[in-house]
Amino acid sequence: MGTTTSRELVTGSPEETEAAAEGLAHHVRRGDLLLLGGEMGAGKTTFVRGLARGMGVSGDVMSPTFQLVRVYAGEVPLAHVDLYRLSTADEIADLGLDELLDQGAVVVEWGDRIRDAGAVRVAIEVVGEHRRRLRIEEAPSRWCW
Amino acid sequence: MVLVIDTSSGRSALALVGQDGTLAQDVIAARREHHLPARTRALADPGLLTAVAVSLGPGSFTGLRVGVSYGVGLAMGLGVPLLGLGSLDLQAARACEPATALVEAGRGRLYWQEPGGEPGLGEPAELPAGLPAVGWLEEATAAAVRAAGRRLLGDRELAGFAEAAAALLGRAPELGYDTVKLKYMQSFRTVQE
Repeated sequence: MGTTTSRELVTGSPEETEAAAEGLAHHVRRGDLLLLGGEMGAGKTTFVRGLARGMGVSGDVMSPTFQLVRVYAGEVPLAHVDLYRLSTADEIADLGLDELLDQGAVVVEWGDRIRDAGAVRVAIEVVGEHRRRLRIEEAPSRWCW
Repeated sequence: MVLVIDTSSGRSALALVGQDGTLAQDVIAARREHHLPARTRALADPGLLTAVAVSLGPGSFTGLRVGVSYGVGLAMGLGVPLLGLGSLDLQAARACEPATALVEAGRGRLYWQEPGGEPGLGEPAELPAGLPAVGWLEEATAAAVRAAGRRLLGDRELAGFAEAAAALLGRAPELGYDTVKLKYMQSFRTVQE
């Protein structure tokens, strides 16, 4: 396991959150796992929308609360996973996350429900009506910033 | 005669085991396409099958679902017994000497099992040392296993897939068509655990 790096930034609007995520996208490689945490309305889907745009995905990004997994085509395919309706290890096993990670990058909403060594953790904290604090932790050190 | 299906790895394996000991097999490299119906018909007249045996894993997430779905459907349609095999047991049975069985777990990790032991999941460097290893691995994974100092048995040192399957069929449990459970080991922990 290589060394990791962390970063914290505050955004003042959903547009800024989306732009921040878009700015991180060029770091993301096949096999990267991003676990997003944050309460309902914190901006997890907004973050994924920016990430997807930065990774060259065209088309709509919506939270896959009911489909559980959506895969967006791109140079690096991005799988968008939502664990909101899942809780047990068996249910999570049925998503095939390992295989999705062999095929591309994976970003998980409500990802604070699982642990994985090597995952990048993104915590989105509500600090005001529109202000959010993004804590990006345990990113690979190649995510230099 | 029994049809055996193992799609737990990057190889898509079919075998035919006859009551009289006749064996046939069809093992191809497969990613998304397995072509199981056509390959099955090329091996045998499906109407002559007396049972269908499926490898339940652990192994490839999508591969297992492809092979097991086909096997369950075929067994149901023919009204013949459905039998369950383990992917690690099948690999171990290919070795003519005691060996650690390996199956790809994704992300360069491996499922492994020593003779008589319980299945494990880990990085190549975490494999038990001592015994040689047997498995259908991707090139990169095989290289990592060798780099970790483990000897991988080559195809010339191993029995065929059909021989391995035939050796296990006598002990294979019969499964209900609607109660099949895949063997999958979660590499992710839920926070509540």
